[in-house]
Amino acid sequence: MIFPIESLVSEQYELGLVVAVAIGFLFGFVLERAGFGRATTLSAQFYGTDMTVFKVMFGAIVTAMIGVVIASGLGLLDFKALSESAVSNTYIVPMLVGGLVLGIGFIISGYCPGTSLVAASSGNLDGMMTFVGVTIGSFIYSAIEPSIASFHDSTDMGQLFFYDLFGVPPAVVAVGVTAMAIGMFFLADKLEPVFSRKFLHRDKSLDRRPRLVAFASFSVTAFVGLGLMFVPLGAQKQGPTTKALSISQYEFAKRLLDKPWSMRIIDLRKRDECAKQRIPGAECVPKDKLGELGLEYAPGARDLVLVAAQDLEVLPKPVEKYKGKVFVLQEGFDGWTRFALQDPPVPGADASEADRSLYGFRSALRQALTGAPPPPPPPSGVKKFVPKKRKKGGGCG
Amino acid sequence: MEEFTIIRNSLHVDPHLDIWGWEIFVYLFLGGLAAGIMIISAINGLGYKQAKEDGSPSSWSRWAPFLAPVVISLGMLALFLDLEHKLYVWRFYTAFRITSPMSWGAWILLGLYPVTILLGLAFLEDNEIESLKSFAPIRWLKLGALLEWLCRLGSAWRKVLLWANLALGLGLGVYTGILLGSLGVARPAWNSAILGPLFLVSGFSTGAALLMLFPLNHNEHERLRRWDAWAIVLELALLGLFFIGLASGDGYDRMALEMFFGGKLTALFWSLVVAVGLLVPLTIELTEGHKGIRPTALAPVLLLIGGVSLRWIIVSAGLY
Amino acid sequence: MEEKKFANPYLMGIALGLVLLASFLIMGEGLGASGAANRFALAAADSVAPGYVESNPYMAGKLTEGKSPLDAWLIFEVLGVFLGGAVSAYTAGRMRRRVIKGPRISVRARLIMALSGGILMGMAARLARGCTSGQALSGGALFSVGSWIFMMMIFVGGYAMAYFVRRQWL
Repeated sequence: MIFPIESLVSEQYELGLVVAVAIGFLFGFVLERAGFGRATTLSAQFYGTDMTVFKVMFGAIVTAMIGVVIASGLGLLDFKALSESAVSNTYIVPMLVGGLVLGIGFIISGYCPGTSLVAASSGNLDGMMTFVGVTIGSFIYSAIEPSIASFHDSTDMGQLFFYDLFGVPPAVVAVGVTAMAIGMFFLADKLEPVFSRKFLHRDKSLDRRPRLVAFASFSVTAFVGLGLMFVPLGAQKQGPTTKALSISQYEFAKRLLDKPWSMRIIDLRKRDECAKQRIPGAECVPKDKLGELGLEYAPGARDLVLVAAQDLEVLPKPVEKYKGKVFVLQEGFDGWTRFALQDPPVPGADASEADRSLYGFRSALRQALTGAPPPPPPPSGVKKFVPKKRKKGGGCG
Repeated sequence: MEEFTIIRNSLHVDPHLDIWGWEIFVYLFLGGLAAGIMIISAINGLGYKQAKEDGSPSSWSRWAPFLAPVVISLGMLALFLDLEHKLYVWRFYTAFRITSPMSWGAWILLGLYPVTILLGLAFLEDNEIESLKSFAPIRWLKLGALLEWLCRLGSAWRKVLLWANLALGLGLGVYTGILLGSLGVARPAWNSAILGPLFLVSGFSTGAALLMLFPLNHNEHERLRRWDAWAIVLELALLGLFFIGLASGDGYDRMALEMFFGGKLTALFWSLVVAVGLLVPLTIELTEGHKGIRPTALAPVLLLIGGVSLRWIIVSAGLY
Repeated sequence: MEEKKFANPYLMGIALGLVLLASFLIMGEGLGASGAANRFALAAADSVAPGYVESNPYMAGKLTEGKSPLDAWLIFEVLGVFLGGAVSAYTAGRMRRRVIKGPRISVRARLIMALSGGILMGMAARLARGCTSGQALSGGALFSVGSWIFMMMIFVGGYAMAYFVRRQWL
């Protein structure tokens, strides 16, 4: 069996909801046991007297991260499918601002949204008020979102992962994060007594045994995850897909409008040409620089789409090891220019239904990409294709 | 224009109106709740000596019998809202058929009012009767003498009233379960003989839960908690039997079963009825008894939510 | 009964990580909370003023035809969180109706602070596509750059503001 269990979100949807209750139950139970149902425990994080929030949070991240790495190393987990479904896009500025405001809200209310729920369930009225506030806040934001939509969607980088950014395998990142976390745990344990003396005028005793167990298991499992990289097991045995598929301009355009996040578009033309004009969201990476992307280590969550000037005859070497699907755009950027950026030929009155709808699609596409005025409607009343998605900004920061 | 109006009023065409709204399951829930309260007050009264040894019953538990008529009136109001021809309610009584739960349900409801009210009056203490007599509407209507006479009547017939309460409560509880089955044979989820006892036990449990919300004394609360825990265990067993019954039935029965195991009602049933309504309150009640933790309103509230959900989901199961 | 002491944070961190891992492995989803609050708000708005929800593209985009906004994984997960928190608090003898606050603030002021902090977080969580659980924890464990940026900024915001609301806690 390969995790995640696909059917729980499709045919067995209802069963998945029952699983949700069970998982939520454990989540709430652990949070409460850690003391996250008390605003005093949570807010103490920000006065340095009690670093529980930090320890639990990073402990959880490290555990889950190593767990995911090991499970995918053993071939139990479809890492790509998981990353695709559980991770949102990275919006740099909205996330900077959102994080800052959430942090401010956190220290004012004493809870974060999840812990406020746990607090409410253990009888704390302030927790209940916080959750009511979160609900009201969501509504207020939803009400004003249309007027700040361009900010809401700004600096969209698509799904962005550290292993893509650094060009190293996830297991290496996991080891790095683990090392960093352990270092910061030590620091946290050093600081706690200092601040406790300062603000609370008392010392905090520290139980060293669980800490030792935790640190030892973090380190050992992190290296197990790293080691699994070199053991060909399960899914990795099948080897990477080496064959590239070709994608038609129409198919590609549809995907670009409907789910741009499912593709990683790489423009292989010369840098200056690419800089001048490119497909929205495309990265400018000339052929000889492809090796620097670390494609063989990427989880392959998104499909790679290669765009050359014309048809791509030979697949570049670094791409061969990419774990996900690789597409090559038919006729390259020149074909794209003809298909999407220039006026489509107006179909005659005797044109077939398919021709007419293709015309409608192309004119809408051109309008979306270039902002040019709409071309004349086709001769008979055919429904015009309207792209659903707002145009997203380019991803080449 | 007229055509348009006709279409909008057709219940079977307009998708926004369910043929049965919230009224039916609320009525079934409140009916069960009233039945539970009647049974509990009857058992409490029959074991009155025992209760006295535990310390005198709290004033809240003495007023409890009056909750039953209040609750059932709310339920009848819901049912009345659901009836299409409100003026023909009296027909329930003139067209009595011994085989129809609908018509003997109507008689139970009629008998319930005098029996519960007299029982309540029978256990009131003198100062409570005095304060009731000074209650404004009774004073204005000069009903004081009548009230006193009723109290004496109740006290004299105490034993009979207790048994009548028990019998009517049991009848009402079972009736809320088999009412659905009497409506149509073509709905397998409603046509199970287990529904009668299931709704009865659930009614008992929710009745106990409602009473636990009042400030009873420690012993009374403790007793309700113990009874309720047993009722929950029994309810879980009956739910198991209900499913076994469906599983051993024909194709339609198994289609109904599917709804609870992977089908449309799975998530709601297992989370709201089983987790919220039974398992979590049971855990809380057991720890409460085991560790002597101070009781809170949480378990009773969850039980009540679970009780409503059970009726809602079983009613929905027959509608699909 | 005496209230139990809270469990060791490192062990709880591992426990929480394992719960998150289970959620990843079984469902392919992370844990969340603010998304559920958003769905509650949406459901309320949709039942009171469906016309308004339709006219707002952001809200309408989150609705699925013929499906209640409450028919979602997150809602059921949050129901579980509530039950789990209650059972844990109960069995540890911590279940009590009260207001948690520092010694130098009134109950009323504390509740107002809780509400307004909640409103800020509700807005921030929508902007950042998730809250501490949904974005920072779940995304962070899956190496998402945005989640880590978000998480660092939570700490920055918290520490920056802590001085100004110290009367509430210390």
